[in-house]
Amino acid sequence: MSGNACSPLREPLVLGGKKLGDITQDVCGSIEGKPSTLWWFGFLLALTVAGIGAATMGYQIYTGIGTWGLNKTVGWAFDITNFVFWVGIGHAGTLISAILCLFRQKWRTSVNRSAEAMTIFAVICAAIFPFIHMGRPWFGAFWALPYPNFRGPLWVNFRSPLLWDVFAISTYFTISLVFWFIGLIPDNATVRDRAKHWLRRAFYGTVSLGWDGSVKKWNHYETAYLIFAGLSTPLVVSVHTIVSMDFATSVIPGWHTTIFPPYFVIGAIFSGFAMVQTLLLVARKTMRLESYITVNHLEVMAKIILLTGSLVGLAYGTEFFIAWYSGSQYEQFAFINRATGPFSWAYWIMVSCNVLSPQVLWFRALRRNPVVLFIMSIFVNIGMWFERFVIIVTSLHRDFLPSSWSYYTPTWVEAVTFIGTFGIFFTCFFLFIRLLPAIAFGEVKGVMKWGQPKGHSHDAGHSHAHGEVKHA
Amino acid sequence: MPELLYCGVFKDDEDVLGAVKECREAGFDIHDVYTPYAVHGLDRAMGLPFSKITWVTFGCGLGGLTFGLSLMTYVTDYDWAMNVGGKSSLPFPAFVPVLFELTVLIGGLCTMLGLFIFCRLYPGKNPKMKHPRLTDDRFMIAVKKNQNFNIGRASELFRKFHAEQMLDLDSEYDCFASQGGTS
Amino acid sequence: MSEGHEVHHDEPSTFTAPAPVKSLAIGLMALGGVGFGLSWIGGANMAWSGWLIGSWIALGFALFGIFFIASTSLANGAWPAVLKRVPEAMTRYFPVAALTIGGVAIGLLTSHLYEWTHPELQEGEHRHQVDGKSAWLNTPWWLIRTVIYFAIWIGFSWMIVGLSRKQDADGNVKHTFTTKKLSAVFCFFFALTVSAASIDYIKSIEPVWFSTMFGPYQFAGIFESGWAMLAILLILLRKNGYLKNVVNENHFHNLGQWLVASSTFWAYLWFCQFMLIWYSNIPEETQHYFARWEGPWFWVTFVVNPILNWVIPFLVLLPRSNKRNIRLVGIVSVIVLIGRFVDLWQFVLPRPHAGHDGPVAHYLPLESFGLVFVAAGFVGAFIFVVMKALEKAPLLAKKDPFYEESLHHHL
Repeated sequence: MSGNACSPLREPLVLGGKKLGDITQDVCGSIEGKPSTLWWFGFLLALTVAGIGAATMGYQIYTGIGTWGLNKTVGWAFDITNFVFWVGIGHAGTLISAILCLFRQKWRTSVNRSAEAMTIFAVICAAIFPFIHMGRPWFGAFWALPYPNFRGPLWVNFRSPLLWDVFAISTYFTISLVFWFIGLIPDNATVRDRAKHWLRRAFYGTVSLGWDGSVKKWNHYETAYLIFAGLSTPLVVSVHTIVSMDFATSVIPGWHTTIFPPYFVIGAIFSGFAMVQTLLLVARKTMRLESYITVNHLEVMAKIILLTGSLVGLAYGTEFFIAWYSGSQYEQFAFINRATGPFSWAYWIMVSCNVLSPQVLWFRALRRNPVVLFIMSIFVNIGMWFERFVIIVTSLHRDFLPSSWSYYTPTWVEAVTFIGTFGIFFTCFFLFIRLLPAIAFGEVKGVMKWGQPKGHSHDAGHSHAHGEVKHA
Repeated sequence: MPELLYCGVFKDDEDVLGAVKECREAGFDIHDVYTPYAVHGLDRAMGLPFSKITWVTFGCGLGGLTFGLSLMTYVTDYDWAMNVGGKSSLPFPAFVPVLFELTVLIGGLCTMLGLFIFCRLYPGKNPKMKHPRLTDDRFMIAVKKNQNFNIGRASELFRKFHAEQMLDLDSEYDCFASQGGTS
Repeated sequence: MSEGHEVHHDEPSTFTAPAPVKSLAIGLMALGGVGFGLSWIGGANMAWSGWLIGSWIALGFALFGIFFIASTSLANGAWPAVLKRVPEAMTRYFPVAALTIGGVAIGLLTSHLYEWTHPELQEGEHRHQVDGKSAWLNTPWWLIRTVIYFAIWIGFSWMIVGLSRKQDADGNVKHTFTTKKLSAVFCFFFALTVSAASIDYIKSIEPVWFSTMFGPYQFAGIFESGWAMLAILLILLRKNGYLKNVVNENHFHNLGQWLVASSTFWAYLWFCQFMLIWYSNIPEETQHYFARWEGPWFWVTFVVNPILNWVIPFLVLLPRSNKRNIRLVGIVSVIVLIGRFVDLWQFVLPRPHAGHDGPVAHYLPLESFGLVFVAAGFVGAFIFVVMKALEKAPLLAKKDPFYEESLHHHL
């Protein structure tokens, strides 16, 4: 069948001659035993950072956002940079789970679960910033949601890209959560059937919704899964498109440019893949998942990083060229100011991290070297944060009136809040890898014959003992 | 009234696929097949029709679109028309992002509900597993013991596809029931 | 497993261009010739506009062919291995495309096709903006760039297709790997050249207007119409008894999916470009859409164009059964090609100083509809070249390492 007709060039996706049962054991085993010291260390560290972040958030909500370094000229800086940064991080998860599913890229199965989890946590972190920036967030529901009211005909403004953001982010969060949850159902059923303790049985019994592996259910399930992939693909594109429109619908030179929607989407995928790369390089090492997250997986992701990084470079070039081509002195000034003005240090960090550093991935040996990949992925994360900072702050700080030109420096409150979101992100991630199957083994099992020598079958002895098989 | 079943337990997806095809050729009525992962082509081999869930998505997505369009038309044009930037009080290009999001949101949520209803999935449901390893590494074909059934042929067929076990069960059987763990 | 092997022995291994397809191609070319002749009624600008639209559409097919091969190779895509001779043959159109762009150069030199050749036609601030672009938009540099683009496109397509021919002879897998490396380098140049060429050939028609989205937007048009052309070529071959047993509804399912995806991609970029300009309302950007905002062009630009390019392919090909209906995929592909013409037609024709008085938006003379025949002539020439190119190599790349997987492609 389909597995046997595969090209001789296909390489196996799962290494180490694993059998079906081994996959179950490897993934479920890691959430069944006691957590390791390393896990406790990481979790408590993340929790501490999250706690400090939460306290800072409480402080600025209580005191007001005057605690930030904003001024009359630069009225949007750190918070929106962090918002775009985190939303972008989330995009790789949806790309892996949905777009690669539609493209039938079978290698995605080893990494999609943790990437999807990352999406959800990243969107939570992103939502924190506009929430705080509302100043009086307890009024948020009044400002963001359209509903009939008794305050006269007072509605939200559907022409505002900021309101589009409310719809985009909440839809993105909801659909990603649903997609993730549905993907987890069969795997949770496996954990349920292996569980010995009644509490575990009850928990995983609840979250697996009575899944029994019936093909009649698989039939609907597979269709629904494909539909979710089909819905999420344009959704993820729309989300960063709408985020980009926060800027591009304005008349500010440097913000208003038509390429922003696809350029932001590509940049988001780029930064998200870098974050996936960072996390998976750590996870495969510490959780011994090298058989599933193989060097081939890392290499494919490295190629996507190279591709998207180069496309981001193309967008930088296009913006510069068209700024000159437009003949508009305002456009031209905005870009020259970026590269040579007071924030040029940020601009050149951005260019070297985003465009230059991924170019090392043209070399196969470097693409397959986890250390190089790790360093490179950190660079890209930094570079993509600076990209948003450069777009936002350098376009604002020298506005149309030279007398109001200004500079922007973040305060400790802004910096600690940003660091705090990393704490929240990692706290969620550590809880996830302890509570739920971190690899979608139900999907990995479906592709494990892929690229294996012909005649490879599941029919072989098992390396571990299972529960007694009953005869009725 | 529980249905009486004759079940074969297999270790390999290709065996199951072959056995299902032959069961249908032999005229047996397949109650269900249980697999730990989605085996490509098994649903078609069992003769299951394509899931109708696509229509739920399509209909509800269209519903979301209509809802969004009515809401925004009412709000921006009918209830309190405003001149923003000299543009029409029905600025359709500005509606597109929210229209798209509402289509996806409502279409997606209904797809989820549709899936749960079509598959009868809900929290606290007892799956009544027929074998403890069906979510791990075993596959099972459950054939109905009705007038089309023939035990000799069935066991011969299952054996031909390397069945590991053959069991007489009924549709209410729960392999975990006697272990004390209830869910 | 066995079915695939049996059927593929009946497949004719040598190819001679089928007479009906040749007649179709020659008929379209004749139509194009007549159309081009008649379009001179509307003046030199009108005629050269038609020539430019047709050249750019057909050049897009060749670009799609090489991009298809390169991206498939980079993504380890297997399903097109049985039909890969067709995109390979599509790339053989590049030399002819170079000649047709040479024709555009005649238009550039002898008419007002490109307004930047006559900056004195612009008024006030616009004159200043056009002059500011003269470092890029000047005739010698335009010609040099054209030579550079074609050198890159022809060079890479010759190398990549050549490797495929070598593999036919020796069956060596290493050619597949070399193709992959070449493809990576090619994609780099492809992005640069297509972005720049779409500015040079199409956007600079309106030298004051600018949009950073323009390169991606033209690429989306090339991509969408390329899938449609590929589907049409495969249907023409199947109708005449070639590839009938190896290219089946599973492959058309993929083509249909790509038509849905690429048309949506086009619609996305088309909408974003328009919406951002409409929203911000900056004069030098809005002028482009303003000229199409009322009168007959409104219907062409904002109604017919998105319906042909997105609504029809998207809605018709969304259901699974329709993607597997080869006839229907063919019909949609023809509609998409008409949409491609309309997309360029509404861009190229309604522009100021095109040799007429009065508001641009109301300028839609009868003879401008004739340009569709000129474009059809270029499509005919393209089909003719592809058929001739297909004769030069075995129709099936049986030694491609993905051939077997492609033969058993199943959805």
